[in-house]
Amino acid sequence: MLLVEDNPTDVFVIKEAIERSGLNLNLRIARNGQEALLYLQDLAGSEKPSCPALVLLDLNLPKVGGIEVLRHLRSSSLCSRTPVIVVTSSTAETDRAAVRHLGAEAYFQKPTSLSAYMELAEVVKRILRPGEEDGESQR
Amino acid sequence: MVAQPHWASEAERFRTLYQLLAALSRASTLQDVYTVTLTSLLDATGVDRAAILLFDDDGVIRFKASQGLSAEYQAAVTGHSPWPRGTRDAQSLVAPDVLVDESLALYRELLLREGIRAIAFVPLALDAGVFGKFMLYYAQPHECTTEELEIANAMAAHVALAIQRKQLETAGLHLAAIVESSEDAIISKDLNGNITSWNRGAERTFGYTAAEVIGKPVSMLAAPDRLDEMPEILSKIKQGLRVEHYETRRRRKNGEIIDVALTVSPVRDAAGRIIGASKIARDIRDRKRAEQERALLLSREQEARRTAELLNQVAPRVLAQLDLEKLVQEVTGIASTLVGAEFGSFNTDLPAPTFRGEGVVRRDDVTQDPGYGKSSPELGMPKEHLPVRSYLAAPVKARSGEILGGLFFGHSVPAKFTEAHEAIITGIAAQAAIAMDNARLFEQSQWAQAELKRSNEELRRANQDLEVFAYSASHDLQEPLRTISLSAQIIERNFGQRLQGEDSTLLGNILAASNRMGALIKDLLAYTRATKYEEGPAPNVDSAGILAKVLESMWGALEETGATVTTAELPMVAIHEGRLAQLFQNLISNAIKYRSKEVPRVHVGADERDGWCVFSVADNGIGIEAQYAEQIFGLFKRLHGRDRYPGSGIGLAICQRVVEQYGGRIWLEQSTPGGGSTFCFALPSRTR
Repeated sequence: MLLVEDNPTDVFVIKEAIERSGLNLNLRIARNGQEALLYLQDLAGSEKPSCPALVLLDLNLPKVGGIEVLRHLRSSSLCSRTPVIVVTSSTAETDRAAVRHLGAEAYFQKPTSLSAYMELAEVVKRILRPGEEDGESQR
Repeated sequence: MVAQPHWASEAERFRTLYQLLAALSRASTLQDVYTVTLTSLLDATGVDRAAILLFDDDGVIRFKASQGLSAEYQAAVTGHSPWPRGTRDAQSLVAPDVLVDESLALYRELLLREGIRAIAFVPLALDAGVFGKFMLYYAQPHECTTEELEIANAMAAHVALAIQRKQLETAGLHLAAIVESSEDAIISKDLNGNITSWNRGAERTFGYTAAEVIGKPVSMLAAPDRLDEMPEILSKIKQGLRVEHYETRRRRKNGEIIDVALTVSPVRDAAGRIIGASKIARDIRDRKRAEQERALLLSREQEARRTAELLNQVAPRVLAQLDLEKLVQEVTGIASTLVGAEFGSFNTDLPAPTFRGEGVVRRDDVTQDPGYGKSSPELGMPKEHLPVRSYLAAPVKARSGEILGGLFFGHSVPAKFTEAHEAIITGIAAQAAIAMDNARLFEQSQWAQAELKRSNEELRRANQDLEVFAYSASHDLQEPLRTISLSAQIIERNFGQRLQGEDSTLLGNILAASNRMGALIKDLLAYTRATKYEEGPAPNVDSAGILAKVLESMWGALEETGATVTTAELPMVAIHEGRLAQLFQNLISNAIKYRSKEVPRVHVGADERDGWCVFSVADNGIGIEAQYAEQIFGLFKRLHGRDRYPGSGIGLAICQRVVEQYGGRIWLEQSTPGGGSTFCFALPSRTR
C-alpha cells in the first residue's frame, strides 16, 4: 500500500490505525507528490511490474499536489485501476469535485480526534476486502 | 235745402285764388302750406269743415290739417281714399247725400254721427299721380256746382305744386346737411374738370376753403406723380362710368401728399345728360399707416419665427454634442452658415472691449471705429485671414453667469449682418452656453464615473484578497493545530496513566486549547465564507419557503428543547436563498440557545414598508442588556461564559455581514433581561 503524506504526525497516526485494525500491509510512504510519481515510474520500469493494492493520498502536498498525482495515476497504463482513498483536511468543494471527477474510491476528511482515525482503517478494509464485513464497498 | 256759397262771382273766386297763391309763396314750412291752404279752402267754399290728407311714405293717407272734425272721426277714416296713391287723371268726387250714396254705406253711420250729410273729394296730384286730397264736409245734402269744383281743382293744383316744392326744398336741405357734415371730402366738378362744390370734409382733407377752390381745376389736388390720372377719370365719367374705391395720392394745400380712396360718379341733369362729376375722397392715411405697421409687425413676426425655426433645427445637433471640442466646431460652423459669415470662431481669450456689454455686438464697419488701427489685430484673428469689415460677436454665458467665451463672426464686406442675424446669434449663443455647460458636466461626470468605477474595482480586489487571505490563513492554521492536537492525544493515550498532578493538567490544557482553537478557526472560516460576494444580482425569493426548510433542518434542536416556532405571513424578498437561510438559522439558533427556564417560543414576522422588508425574530429567552445592543454584532463577541453557552460569538457577526452585503441592516429591536429579545433585519423587498 502506498501512503502519500507529508505530515509525520499523520503518517504516524495512519500507520498506527492500519496496524491496529489488523491489516497486514506493507506500507510504502511517499513524502510528497514528486516522490509518489517517481515511485510509480520505478514500478513501471521494474522487471515484474505490480501496482500497490491501495493508495492513500493527501491532497495538500509539497512540489506536486495530490490531485496531480491522482490524475497521473488514472492516466497511467499500469495502475489506472488501483483504488485510491483521498485523505485530506481540505473541505473545499472544488477539491471534492476534482477527486470525484478523477475517480477516487473514497474521500476521507482528516479528523481532529485520534480515535476517529480508526474509521479510515475500516474504509481501507472495505475497499480491499469487499463483501467481507457488510458487503458494501464505499465507492 | 241746398246752401249757396257766398262767393258766387267769378271775380271773387279769382281773388281767393290769388290770395292763396300769395300766401303759399310766403309759407316757409310744409305745415304753413297746410294751414294757409285750409284757411283759403274754408274761405273759398264757405263750408265750415274741411281737411287736407296726404299719402305718407308708408302708403297710408293721413290728416295733415283739418277743421271741425272729431278725433274719433279722423282716426276712423285715416287710410281711406277713393283713389289709390299714384292714380293719374283722378277726378273730384261728390257725395251729395250720404243717406242715399251706396259707395259710402260702410261709413254712413260714422258720417251721420259726425253730422255730415254731403261730402266732396278733391285729388291732389302731380305728374306722378295722386298724392293726397282735399275734403269738404257739408251738414246738409249738397250738390256741388261746376264753379265750385273748378275753383277747388285750381286750388288743388297750386297747393300740390307748393307742397312738392316744399318737400323738395326740405329734402335738398337734408342732403346738403349730410354732405356738409360728412367726414369725407365731397366735391363736384364740371366736365372741364373745374370744381363746382366743396364741402367741409374737403376743407379738412385738402386744407383749402371752398372759396379758394370753386371754379379752379381739380388737377390742383393731384400729387405730382398722379397728374395723368385726372384726364383718365374724367374720360370715364364722360362715358357715364363710375370709378369706385380707387386708391391714389393727392396733395394738400400745405404740399403734404396724402393717401386717399376715391369714388367718382357722373352727375346728370333732368334730361339725363352728364354735366359733371361728384367725387368722394376719403383720407386713408390712418388706414395706410396701420397697414404698414401691420405689415412690419407681420414681417418681424415671420422673421422671429424663421429664427426660432432655425434655432430649433440647430438645437438638437448642438445640445446632443457632449464633446466640448466638437461642440465648439459645430456651433461656429452652423452659426457661420446661418448668418453668412466668412469667418467664425469661438474665443475663450476674449478681446476685452467686445463683451463689456451684456449682449451681442454688431459692427457694420470696423474701419469707422475710433479705435481702428490702434489695437491690432482687431479681434485677434489670424494675420493671413481676410480683413474683417463687419462683424457680429456674442458672449456665451454659463448658467452660473460665468462667460465661457465669445462667438465671433466676421465678413470682409461692410454692413453684412442684420438685426435678424443678431437674433440668430443670440439664440445660438444661448444654446451653445447650455450645450457647453452640459458638455462640461458630462465630462466631469464621466471622470467621476471612471473614478468611482476604479475605486470600486480596487475595493472589490481588496475584498477578494482579504477573503482569500482569511480563508487560506484559517485553513493553514488548521493543519498545525491538528498536528498539535493529535500529538497531544497520542501522548495522553500512551502516557496518560503515568502522568501525575500538574503534568496531567497541562496536557489537559493543551487538548482543551486546541479544541477551542479548532472551533474558532472553523467559525472564522464560516465568517469569511459569509463575507464572500454571491455571484449575480439578488433574485426574488420566497422567504416563507426558505424558513420552512431551515426549520426542517433544525428539527433535532427544536425537538430536544421542545421549542415552538410560529411564523406570520412572509413576503418575497431580494436575496440569495442560502444567505437568507443563514440569517434565519443563526437567529433562531440563538433564540433557542439563549433560552430562559421557560420552554422556548420563537416568532418570525415580517413587515413591508418603503421598499424594504423588515423581518423580526422574537423569543422569550434570557434577553440582553441594552448596553450590549451594539456589541453583540462584533466578531467573537460573547456575553456569557463558554461553560454556560457554547460557541465562539460569530453568529450575529455573520448575520450583520450578510444583510450589509444586500444593502440591508440588522439590529436588536427590543430586549429586556429575562424578558426575551427581538432581532430585526431589513432587506430590499424586491429587485428594484
